[in-house]
Amino acid sequence: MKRIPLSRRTLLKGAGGVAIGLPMLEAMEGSADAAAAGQKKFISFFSGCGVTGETFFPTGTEKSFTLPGSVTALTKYKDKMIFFNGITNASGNDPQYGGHQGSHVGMISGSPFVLSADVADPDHYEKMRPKGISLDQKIAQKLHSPGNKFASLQLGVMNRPSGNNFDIAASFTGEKGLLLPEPDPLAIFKVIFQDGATSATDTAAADLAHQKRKSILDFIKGRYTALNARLGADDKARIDQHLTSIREIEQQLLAATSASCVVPSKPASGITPEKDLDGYAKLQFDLLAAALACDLTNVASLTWFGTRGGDFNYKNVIKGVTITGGHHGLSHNQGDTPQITAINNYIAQNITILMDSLDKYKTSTGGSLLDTTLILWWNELGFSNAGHESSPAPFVLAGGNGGALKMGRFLDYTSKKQSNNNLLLSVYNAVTDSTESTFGDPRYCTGVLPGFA
Amino acid sequence: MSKITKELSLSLFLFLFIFGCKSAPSRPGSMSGGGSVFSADPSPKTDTSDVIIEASVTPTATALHLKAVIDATAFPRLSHREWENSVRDLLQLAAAPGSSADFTPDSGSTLFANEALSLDVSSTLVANYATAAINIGSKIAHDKVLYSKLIPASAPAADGMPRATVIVGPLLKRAYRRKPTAPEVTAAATLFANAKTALKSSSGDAAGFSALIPFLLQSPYFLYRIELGSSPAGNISTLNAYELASRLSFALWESIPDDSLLAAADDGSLLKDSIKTAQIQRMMLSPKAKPALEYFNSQIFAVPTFTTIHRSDKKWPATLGDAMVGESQNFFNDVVNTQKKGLTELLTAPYTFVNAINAPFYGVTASGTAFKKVELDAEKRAGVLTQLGFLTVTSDDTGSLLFHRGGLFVKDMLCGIDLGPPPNVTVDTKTVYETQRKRVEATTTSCGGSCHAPLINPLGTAFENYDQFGMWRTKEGTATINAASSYSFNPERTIDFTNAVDLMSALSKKFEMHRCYAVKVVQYLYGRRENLADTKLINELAQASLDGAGTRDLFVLAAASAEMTVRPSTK
Repeated sequence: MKRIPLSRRTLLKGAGGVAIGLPMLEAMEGSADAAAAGQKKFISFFSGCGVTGETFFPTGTEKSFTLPGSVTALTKYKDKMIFFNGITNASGNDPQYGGHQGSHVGMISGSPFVLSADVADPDHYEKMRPKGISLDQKIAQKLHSPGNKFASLQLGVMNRPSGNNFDIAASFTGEKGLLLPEPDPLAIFKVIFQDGATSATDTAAADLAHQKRKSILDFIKGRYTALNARLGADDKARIDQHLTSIREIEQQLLAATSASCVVPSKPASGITPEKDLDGYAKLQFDLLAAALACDLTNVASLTWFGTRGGDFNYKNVIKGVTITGGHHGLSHNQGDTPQITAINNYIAQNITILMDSLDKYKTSTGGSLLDTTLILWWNELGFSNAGHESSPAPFVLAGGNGGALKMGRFLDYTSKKQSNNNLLLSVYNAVTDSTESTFGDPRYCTGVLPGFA
Repeated sequence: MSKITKELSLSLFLFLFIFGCKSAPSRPGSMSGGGSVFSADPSPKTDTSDVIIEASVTPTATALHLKAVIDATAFPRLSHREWENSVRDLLQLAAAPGSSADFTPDSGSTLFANEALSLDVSSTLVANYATAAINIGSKIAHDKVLYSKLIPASAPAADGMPRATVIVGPLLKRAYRRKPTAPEVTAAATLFANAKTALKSSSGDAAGFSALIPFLLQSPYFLYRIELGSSPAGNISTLNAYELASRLSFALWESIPDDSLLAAADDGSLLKDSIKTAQIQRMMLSPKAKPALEYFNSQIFAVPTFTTIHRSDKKWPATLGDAMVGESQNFFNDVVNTQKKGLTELLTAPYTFVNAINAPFYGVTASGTAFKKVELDAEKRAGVLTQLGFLTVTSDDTGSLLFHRGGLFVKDMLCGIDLGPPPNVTVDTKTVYETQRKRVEATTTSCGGSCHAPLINPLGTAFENYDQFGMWRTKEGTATINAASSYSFNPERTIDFTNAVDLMSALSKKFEMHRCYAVKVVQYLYGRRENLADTKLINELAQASLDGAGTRDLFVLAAASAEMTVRPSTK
């Protein structure tokens, strides 16, 4: 494990139990409580193909409920979760274009899609693009700390997509702002942890190298700024994005060298889901947890195979139930409840593994990173069947909101349906400590979920 | 009765994503840290003095009719292939650096990963560029042999501004693909000259290059193909000579213009048809044109997928994927570069290239790893689609996959359909059929009938004489194979065929087949999807191809057309 210089953080213990010391800067002295309370984190966990309703939604009352087959794996952390029923995907329910894309967009942004003019084929359902902003990106706008190196991160447990498809990712800021997940652990390691770069030895030479890079970047920035002045609106936007990215790199170079964080070991290359899905997923979870623990970012999304579930075939991974085809194919066949149930429970089990990874990072007050991280598990669809219904939507919350949200509940809105906009708004307010009154398209939002906060 | 119980494959088409820009909102930066380590910040505060040579040619009637040409942006970034070649040529390296293997991959809606609209720049990619730029700069700065190539003989001997100015000038021009302005040269020279002290180095040149190269490789004028154009006439502007030079060299070479092309742009002569034509011919004769031609055909005929095939059958050699790629590359080179032929030959040629690995599957013998041309039985083999690669990538351990063969062919090579399967499909995996053809035809009557019956099934059926190893067969189990069917372009134009060889012969005489190839030429050389305004050009290319024009001829035609000289006016 290598140490890399990073900006200041709250006091944390790494997986090896070694305390990582920080200089108590003057600004922090008066806010020991804030340090103990910890910075909030948010993870958007996206899997596809919907659920089989009768085996997914719990039965019982708010405090006393049973978890059926698709989510029994979550029993381990039952008291750190909130289950829902009766949530409709109002904005994603287009009669003509529903299905994966239309529902997907609406599900996590509360806004219907637009048909993108950029796509050549006029009738292609793949023209659907988000119009609004996804929950995680809106949260990132508020949660981003000055010391973060990344506004947000997007990781994937999936095969690298090839070719082009106008399907969309879990994170987006609008029609042209799609943020794709990175599936390769080694690539993530290289970019996020700077390939394990260290300046522990030979600080002087390293500092000089840093300064040189920053100066060159300054110089380059000047070129982009000069060019920007001559451009039309569309192109200005592109250059602005590029400039922002350069500034982010500069931020990384400017990071104070006094603190340190335990960086995971460098992953091997060529890791794919087919080789060892369990090991690969855990690796991504560990990297994600490390990135959050090291304050590289406060917001992330994890795409579990993405839309259509990547049509991944779980036959080598799921024990006890025979899997006869790819996830997407199965989701069309209404007779495949046992298989879809098993697949969703496998994903649920992986969510507990992600939670384990977060829980390994303990705070000085006895809590853990899991307590300050809220995970929203969402699906592009509601029911997995030939009709691809987008309601009721299978949302699950996991983790903790720094103690500010009561976990271990089942909120059943079946008799008084709530739109997913209301759920997104409730989560947004809880995580960012806001009091907003609407989220996404206001036509579909009536306010926060009753009894949520 | 042979049992076929494998499932219908619903995942006919590749699972795809679009890569988008990471648009983090800009925050007020709390950027501490001192000024430039290179002493006075050499970047001028207000540098709006970039000089663009005005086009001296007014738009012609032809250009004016292209008002409908649609581009979403004035300039795309370099595709990764273009980036590699451009770095190689700019810095006079022996080979491309290979750094783009670590970049966020290119994608797009065409087969060529150079669709301008899709070439977004995420912050991950900006970080990739930065890392690559620093590494390449460092590698060159540490090797006097490498950087000496970049120092003109006329450079004054002593370190300092005069030497730096002579060094940076030509590099800026090649990197930016235009004459740099005086302030740009001064700024870059200052960066170079100050590096020796700033970096505490004993070598002015080494320090200079270690600062200059990362700067060049991250500059917007290097990474983006800037086209600001001039002389707007309604919706369109005419490119100036430098912009035209870039268009031509990125189209035909996937790289920056060389000094000869830049010289023709310096005096504007490139805008004259005769000079432009001569330059295009010169470029096609250069060895730098071959990788582009090979890439073009390889993408259309799915060659890179050949090495992704996984088979458990012991009969399948581990190196067959590579052998099939080598076979295709040799085949394309022979047809396109040696014989100067095109689509018709590619589709009907009764020969291929074999070595010890792939020869047995054709029923011929060969030894060693080098490829030799071999004539095949013209009754059994005709062109690239009856070669092993296409046939095996559309099969699996259980057998040939009729849907995949028909689907891939009609989608990518015939431009017949562009859609995926519909969402609500129920699958019958229980009934047993005598042959795959019978099963397919029985199960795709109602649902999917509009795509399967007239388009996918007949084309897939034609290839049933080739098993999952691409080997010829006349029986499937105990049943005799019937590969005859008919394919309709529209109700009035139907072709009947007895098998794949017959099909290739018939299709190679059809306008629609060549039209699809022509569309691909436009997509590749122009880095965008075709649109209505391209109709005239596409039809010209299609007719030429139908009349026997080679791929090289089509490239020349497309490069020389009026469309290459214009772009939409900036808003």
